[in-house]
Amino acid sequence: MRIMVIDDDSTFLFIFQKQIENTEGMEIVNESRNGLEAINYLKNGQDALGEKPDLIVLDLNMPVMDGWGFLNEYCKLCDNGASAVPICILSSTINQADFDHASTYDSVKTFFSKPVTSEQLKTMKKISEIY
Amino acid sequence: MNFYPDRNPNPVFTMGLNGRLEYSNSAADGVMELCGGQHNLKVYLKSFVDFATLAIQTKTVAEKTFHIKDCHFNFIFCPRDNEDLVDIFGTDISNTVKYQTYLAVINAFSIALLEARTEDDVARTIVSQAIARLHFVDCVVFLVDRQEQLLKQKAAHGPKKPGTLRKNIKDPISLKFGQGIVGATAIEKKTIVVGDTSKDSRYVLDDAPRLSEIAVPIMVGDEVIGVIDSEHPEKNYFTKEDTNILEAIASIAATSIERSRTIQEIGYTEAKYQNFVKNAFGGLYIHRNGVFEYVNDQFCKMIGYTSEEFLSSDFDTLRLIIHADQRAVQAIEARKLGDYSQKSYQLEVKTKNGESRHLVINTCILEDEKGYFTLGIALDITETIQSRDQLEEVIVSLEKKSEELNEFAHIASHNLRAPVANLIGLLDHYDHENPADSTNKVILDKFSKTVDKLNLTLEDMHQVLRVRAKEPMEFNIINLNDAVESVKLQLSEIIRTTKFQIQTNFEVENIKYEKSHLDNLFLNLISNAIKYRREEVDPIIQIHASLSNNLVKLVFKDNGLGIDLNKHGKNLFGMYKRFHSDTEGKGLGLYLVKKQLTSQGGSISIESKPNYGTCFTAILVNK
Repeated sequence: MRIMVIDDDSTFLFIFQKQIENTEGMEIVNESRNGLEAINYLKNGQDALGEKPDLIVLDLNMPVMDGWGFLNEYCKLCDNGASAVPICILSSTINQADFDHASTYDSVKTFFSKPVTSEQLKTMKKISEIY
Repeated sequence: MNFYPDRNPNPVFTMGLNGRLEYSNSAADGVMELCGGQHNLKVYLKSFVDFATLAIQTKTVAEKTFHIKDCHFNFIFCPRDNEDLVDIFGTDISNTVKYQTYLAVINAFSIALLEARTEDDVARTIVSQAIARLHFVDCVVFLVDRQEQLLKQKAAHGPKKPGTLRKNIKDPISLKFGQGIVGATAIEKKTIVVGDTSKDSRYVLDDAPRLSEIAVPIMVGDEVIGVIDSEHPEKNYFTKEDTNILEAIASIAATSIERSRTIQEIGYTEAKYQNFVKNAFGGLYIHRNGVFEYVNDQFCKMIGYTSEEFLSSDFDTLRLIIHADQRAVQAIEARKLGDYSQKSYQLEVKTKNGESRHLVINTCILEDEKGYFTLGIALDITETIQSRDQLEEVIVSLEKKSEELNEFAHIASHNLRAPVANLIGLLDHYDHENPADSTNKVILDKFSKTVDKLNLTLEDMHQVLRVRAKEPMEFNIINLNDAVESVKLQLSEIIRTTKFQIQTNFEVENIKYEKSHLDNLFLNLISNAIKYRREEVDPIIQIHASLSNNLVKLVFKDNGLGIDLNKHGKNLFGMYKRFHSDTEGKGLGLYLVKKQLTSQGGSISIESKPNYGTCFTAILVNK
């Protein structure tokens, strides 16, 4: 299972990397530091095999283009024919308004608060298998 | 010519000098009977004989009216040409004279009634202006008391004090309906004439027994409102003429009483209305041609002037008005265009003792015999406005508080939870069995950095709370050059490695201000300029200070990356907003700078252009 992670927090990325390494059948294929980087990645190069990731793990609070900005841009991309990759929001927010707003996006399949547990990683895996 | 003098109903005399009677017809004999016989004519009617003699001597036709007993006669004296004789032709004009008297009485009575305001006035006028002039011996006017269903004596004329009007009746007679001749009249609703009271069981004795009585009802429509009653000692005294004149008087009196009742009712209504207007809860006024014509007590109380001051012609209405709202202006325009409908607007007025009050005015234009006037009702809403203003202040303050709470929720969720979540995650991956493992070193390093970051965030939050709590500030004289030097010292390492230049141009060098705020301002704006420098140019920031009107203007101009204000402008001074990806900003800096400046009455603004530079302008109030 190929994961793209969009987050600007290097410490989080370090921990997440470790967690993925310890989970069978998962690998990180791209790390983007903000929404804009991620959009550019999805638009252009993607990875060496030219394949799309199976799951996007998205943070909300980021510089340049935050998680919401990314979701809006990504919706436009999908409208233009790109098939949607399921998205899992992984944020430190506990604000109900954020949860409510996230549920309005079709491609957002689930919403977790940091820190990530191994249970949540299993859920992510299931999601990518369903969609 | 056949002549039958005795058939002539009018008296005819033929008289010689000195009253020598040559001829008289039977009617003439009747006239002489009134005088007490022929022989008495010279004594009783000396003027008649003298007039006849004069006519014979002057040979001139003459005419004269003589009053004999209760009768009036008109005589024409026609002297003969060749004899010392005069033919005298008489006409009985008693009735004509009587009716003339009646007419005069009714005329005078009608005029006198115009003065009558109350029913009692009318009753008294009947007696004084009609009965007394008609020479009735005794007369009483009764009026109906509708509540008690009684006929009450209101005025009387008669022998109790002969020839005068009994104005104040000490023991007025009250009669029930049906009691006496008067009571019978009230029930039968028609005039009753009794020729011999001794034979009428209904008769009620007053002060003395009288044999004739006449009672005439005073009617309004079908209702008896009173009775005119007269008595006379002689039998069969009252004639048809007496009935006629009393009925005429009763009819005129009825009209007058009806009018006085209406006037009284209007009076009650008017008094009630005036009382209402005077004591009305709102201020009421009438304004005509720029002058107050009426103001009620409440209006006076509202604005503090007395009614006399308001009503004086030199009272300046415009002087009262401090401010008129838009609707007042529109109302004035509408009036000019002939719109006289009700208008409502708000005025701020100055009371006599200089206070400001807010009034809601409702006006309309009305018209009376003197022309158009404004009727206005004013309500004092000063208290309402004050509480509304207070409420608005509370709302604004609550909204601000709510916004700040949201910001704190944001800090709590991102800037505290994120590092804590990282600390938990890092601990999970720490290899306790192999402390010397190389990954452990990385984890510990990251752990330490995260803790530092958390500590800085807490420190920032403390600063924000300090500003919000409005802690008392300490204002000291600070030298701006010292402030810059202090920042240079703190950032010496990065300034050295980036070869960053700081140029200053201070027109004012000393400023009295809270030192921590000023230090934070310089530190944030200078470190921002270093962080967001452009690699292609030699990085520089120019700081300019100037003073005007106790305001210190600090301008920080750099040649760095700049920022797209169209995209990020609204978020720039918000809490924890970052705009560049490749720096370690916490996002709190500009937010705190702005909070500190505005809390002391200052401000901050930004101009920027991507890849050109940024210019911050801070305004500080020199304490």
